[in-house]
Amino acid sequence: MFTLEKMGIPTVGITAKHFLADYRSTALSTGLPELPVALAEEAYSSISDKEVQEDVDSMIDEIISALTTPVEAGVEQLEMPITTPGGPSPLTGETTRFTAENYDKLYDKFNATFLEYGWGDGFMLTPPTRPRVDEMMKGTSHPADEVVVKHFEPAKGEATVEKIAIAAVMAGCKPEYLPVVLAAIEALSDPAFDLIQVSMSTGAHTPFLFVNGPIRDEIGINYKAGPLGPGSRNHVNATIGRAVRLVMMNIGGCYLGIKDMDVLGTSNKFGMLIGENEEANPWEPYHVEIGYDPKTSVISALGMDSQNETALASVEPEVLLYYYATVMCDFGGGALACAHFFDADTLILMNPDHAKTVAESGWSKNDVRGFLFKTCGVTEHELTAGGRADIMPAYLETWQALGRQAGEKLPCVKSSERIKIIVAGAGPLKGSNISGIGRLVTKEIDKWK
Amino acid sequence: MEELTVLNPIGIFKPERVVPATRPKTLNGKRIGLQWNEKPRGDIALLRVKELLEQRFTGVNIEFLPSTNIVRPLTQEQLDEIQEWKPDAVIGGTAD
Repeated sequence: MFTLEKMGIPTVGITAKHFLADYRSTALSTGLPELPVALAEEAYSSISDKEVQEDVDSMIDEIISALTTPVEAGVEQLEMPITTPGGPSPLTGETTRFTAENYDKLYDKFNATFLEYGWGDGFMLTPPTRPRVDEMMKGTSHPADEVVVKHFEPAKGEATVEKIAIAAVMAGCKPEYLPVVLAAIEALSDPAFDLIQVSMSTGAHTPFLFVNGPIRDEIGINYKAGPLGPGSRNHVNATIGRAVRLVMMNIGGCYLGIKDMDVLGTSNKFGMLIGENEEANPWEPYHVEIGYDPKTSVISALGMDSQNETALASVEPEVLLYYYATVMCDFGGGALACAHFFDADTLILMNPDHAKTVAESGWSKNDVRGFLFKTCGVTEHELTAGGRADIMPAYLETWQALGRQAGEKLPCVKSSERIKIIVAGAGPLKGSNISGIGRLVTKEIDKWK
Repeated sequence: MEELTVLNPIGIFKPERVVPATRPKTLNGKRIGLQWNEKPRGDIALLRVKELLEQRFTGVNIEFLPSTNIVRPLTQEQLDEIQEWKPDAVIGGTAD
């Protein structure tokens, strides 16, 4: 709409009332806060055709008026803090001072205020004092005012090194973690990652991050058992993941009900970061596979639609991989849609034991990809029976391009190249698949030291 | 009294200001584009809009433009296609 207005074409958007805050905030962040809107009573995906038509009948005058009444533009220049859940905040300066009779009350007051304005993730935050932020800045040689991302989506806040360091302090990171956070933010801003979709969807999406290279051990990222769970072993994983989420909120404006339209949400959104278990990978570690030197530290980011776990004991590669293929497909959810609308990647987190079995049977990673691509998928019958006939054209395009016959499966990705594989975790039986929203993006970490 | 001074974590944004397009006085004889966000029944809504506008205005030409998911910007190819069709106004289905 904004692009069309810029081209001199008048527009109006039909938006459900539930999405009005999102619409207004997006209008503001794209430089056109006055963009006209016609409000629907309910989201059209939830009501019948007849109810949709009746709703349109009741708003047609509004639509006509929006297209024929001059729209007065307000202020010429926009430069302001991003829209936050607390609305206009008293904390608009560079710093804010709290006072209380003792430190415990001071700490509580700080946290209560940040929660009130929606600036936290729900857990207690570390106060980003000047000494703490200065200490955090020792983790990088880059200046505080350096702009890492000029317009961090979806609210298009300016992500400077210092603003990211503030989030890292609030999340509980140590200074040596900061380069990983900075590289993660750079990865999220890569258009291939699709930060807008990951941030604004009604789905429970979040960045899934993994680290390769020497920094994994230098700072103690857990790459063995349970790296995505709670516990002191996961301090580094958890705090870096948390810092990334706080940047998404306080710089990207990804606040629930404003830009984040998540219907249910997921605790995965508090942060997801692991190290690849390179030592247990019988093939090349992911970063070496895509051309990096083994000594280069990198972070890879995939916008996650959903995570599905497989549990299986077998010494037969085909049997093991068949079960990975089954968890790649979630045709009732968003994974298939993301794959076929957006040509998204999917990421296999292969159990070390499974990887060993498969590799020792002579399979290369490409063999694995080829098998998964051939085996994963849903039938035409399953698709239509699942009520997804409305989006069948996008699926059929791939189906036809592959020359598949009636009764044959539609794969869960558009090509075998979209299947990425790392070795993760430690212990028997369990592996996982991360269905992507966009593409897996990799950025170097060392340049942010 | 104890005191604590914290830095502001909120990002500043400085968007390029977009000037709203000039509106026509009437939709009679205009070309109107419909943009569907690919969400269920958004197309039904836009078809009803088309029907109602055709009843109210003379000589209107109403067509669907290339559709786009709401959270994805239009591609240059789609923009070129829209520019070629030269709509006088566009109505979008912009949320589920």
